[in-house]
Parts: sequence; C-alpha cells; structure tokens
Amino acid sequence: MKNLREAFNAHYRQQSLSEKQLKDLMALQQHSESADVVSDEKNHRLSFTGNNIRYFLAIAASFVVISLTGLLYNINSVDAREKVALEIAYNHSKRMALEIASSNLNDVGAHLSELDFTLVDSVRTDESEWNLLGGRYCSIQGKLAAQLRIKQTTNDSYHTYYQAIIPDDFELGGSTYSTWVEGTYIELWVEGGLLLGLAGEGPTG
Amino acid sequence: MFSHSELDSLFRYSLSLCHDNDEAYDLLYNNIEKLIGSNSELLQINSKMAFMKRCIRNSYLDVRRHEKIRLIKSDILKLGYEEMQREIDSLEDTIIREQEVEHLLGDLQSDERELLYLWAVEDFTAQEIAEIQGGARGTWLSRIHRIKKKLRAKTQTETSPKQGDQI
Repeated sequence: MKNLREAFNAHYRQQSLSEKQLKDLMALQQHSESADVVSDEKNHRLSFTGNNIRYFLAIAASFVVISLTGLLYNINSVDAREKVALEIAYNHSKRMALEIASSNLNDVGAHLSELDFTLVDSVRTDESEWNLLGGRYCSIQGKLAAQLRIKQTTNDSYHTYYQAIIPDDFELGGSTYSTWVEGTYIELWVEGGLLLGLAGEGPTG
Repeated sequence: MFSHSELDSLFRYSLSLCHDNDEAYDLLYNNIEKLIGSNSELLQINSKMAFMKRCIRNSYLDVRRHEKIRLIKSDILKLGYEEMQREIDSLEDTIIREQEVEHLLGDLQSDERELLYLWAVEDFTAQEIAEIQGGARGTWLSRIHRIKKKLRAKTQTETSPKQGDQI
C-alpha cells in the first residue's frame, strides 16, 4: 500500500517508450528530410509505362472526380471563411471597451464564464512576443465568442484576437487562412478544437 | 531536439491524457512531426518541453473537444491558490494498492488524469497546474472533488465485504 502520490508516481515511471518507438522518434528528429525521400519513392511507384493504359485512364478519371469535389469543397469553405473574416473585421473595427483587463488568460477566461468552452493558450501567441491586455464577449457566426486584445511586443502593435466554437460546416482548407478586409489583416486557424482569429493592421510575422 | 528521457517524459504526459499507449505514442509522434515540419525557428526556443506539452495538449483537445464540451460556471477570484493547493495536497492522505492504480486511471476523465499526473509525477504546484489546464477556479476545484469521490468509491468497494463472504 502506498499513498496516492507515490502510487501514481511509481505507476507512470514504469511507463516508457519501447526501444523501437524511441528509435523511430530519434530517427524522425535526425532525418526530417526523409519525408522528401519517401515522397519521391511514392511518386516513382506511381509512374506508369505504355502497357498499363487502363491504370492511366482510371487515375485520370479519379483525378477529375477529386478535382471537382475539391472545387465544390473550396467554394463552400471559402464562403464560410470569408463570412468569419468579415465578422472579425467588423468586431475589430468597433473598438469596443474591454470587460476585463488582465494579462492572465485564466483570469480573462474565468471572467468570460458564459463561454461554452475554455480559452486555449495558443502556441502562436507566445508570451515572449505577445502581451495579453484583456478581453470581452463577442459573437462569431451567431455563437458567443471571446474577443481578446493583445499587443505584439516586437513592434508595439495592437491586435484583437478571437476564440470561438468552430461553426458548422466550416473548413479552414489549410493550416491557416489569411485575408485583407477593408484595411484589416485577418488570420484564421484552428487549435485546441477552437477557431482562432487574429486581426490587425498587417501580417504578424 | 529531444533526448531519450525527454521523449519518455512527453510520452508519459501524452499517456496521462489518452490512457492508451498506442494513442499516446501517435499523439507524441504526430506532434514531433508537426514541429519539424513547421517553422524551424520553433526548434530554437528555450522551453521546448513546456511548448511541446502545450502542443500535445491542444492537439489532444482538437480531437476530443467536440466529444464533450463542458459549461464553465465560475466562482473565480474568491478562492486563492493556497486553498487550491490544500485541496490537491489532501489527496496525498489516500492510501491505495499499487495494482489498483491502473483501474482507477481507467475510471478517471482525461482532465482528472492529467491533473494527477502533473501533481504526482511532475511535482507541479496547484497554480502551475491551473495555468496549464486553464478554466475557472471553480471548475478546477470540482475536478478535485470528482477525483476524491471516485477514490472514496474505489476504496469503499475494496473494503466492503462481498455478499458471498458472509455465508
């Protein structure tokens, strides 16, 4: 019998990666460029000769179907992304007063207690480069969302930063989406199961 | 980038969220792969372990967020971190058989397992855990109470005699 802390500690200390898993992870770190090699190999395998025209036709037909599907998908997703970007640009332009002024995300999240989600600490707004100033409620696509105000310390620029539930049928179509709306630069991405957005006078990079 | 011991530590953290070895490994592998494939400047940051844990946590939530969204009702700023620390330290009074730990972990939700892992293994304070897990202080305290309730149920089940034993 042990107390809970000792028992948990002992249990987790027994858990470790297998030799193979460790080897794979070390290899992944040491040879990150191997992804290109794998990709080349795949392309090589897909090359065809004159004898397998049927394969070529099947692939060509699949390509057409995939392209059309992708086109339709893009039309829908672009529409959804633009709607969100327009709404964020509108919220940004209103320059509404903060409901809570704090540099602590937990305090801001706790104040905005009616949100149906917990604010996430995004890896893109690292404390070394961004200072949180506070936040308030806003609306994204008809649902309660958080509008935070943050300052980029590298150039002293102020941005509004949004966290919201991902709207139904919303697809980002990539790792990030960025656009200009009436002089405001908007970036959207998904992280921690939420839709995040950043609005400011220009790109943050 | 990460040493063997760091990889093991990140794996254990993933395991505290998933409670499944394969899923924990996939979570770790995918995040390292993502980190390598992303901006190379990220590889130069000082607090790589903390950064990586945050990535792992966020991508775990990415998958699970839609499965269950908890409403947050807040009674924040009424209780200090000292009270939170007392609450979590009181868990230490619980005595448990080592072989029961695995069963108990299976009964816990991922946020409860993560909290116990950070407290027991990483030796984090209540404040540090609250900063990682986020959310309202009231939510955090009710998480502790849920853990205590499950622990009590577990220990009572073990100590109470089985019906057949009385005959």
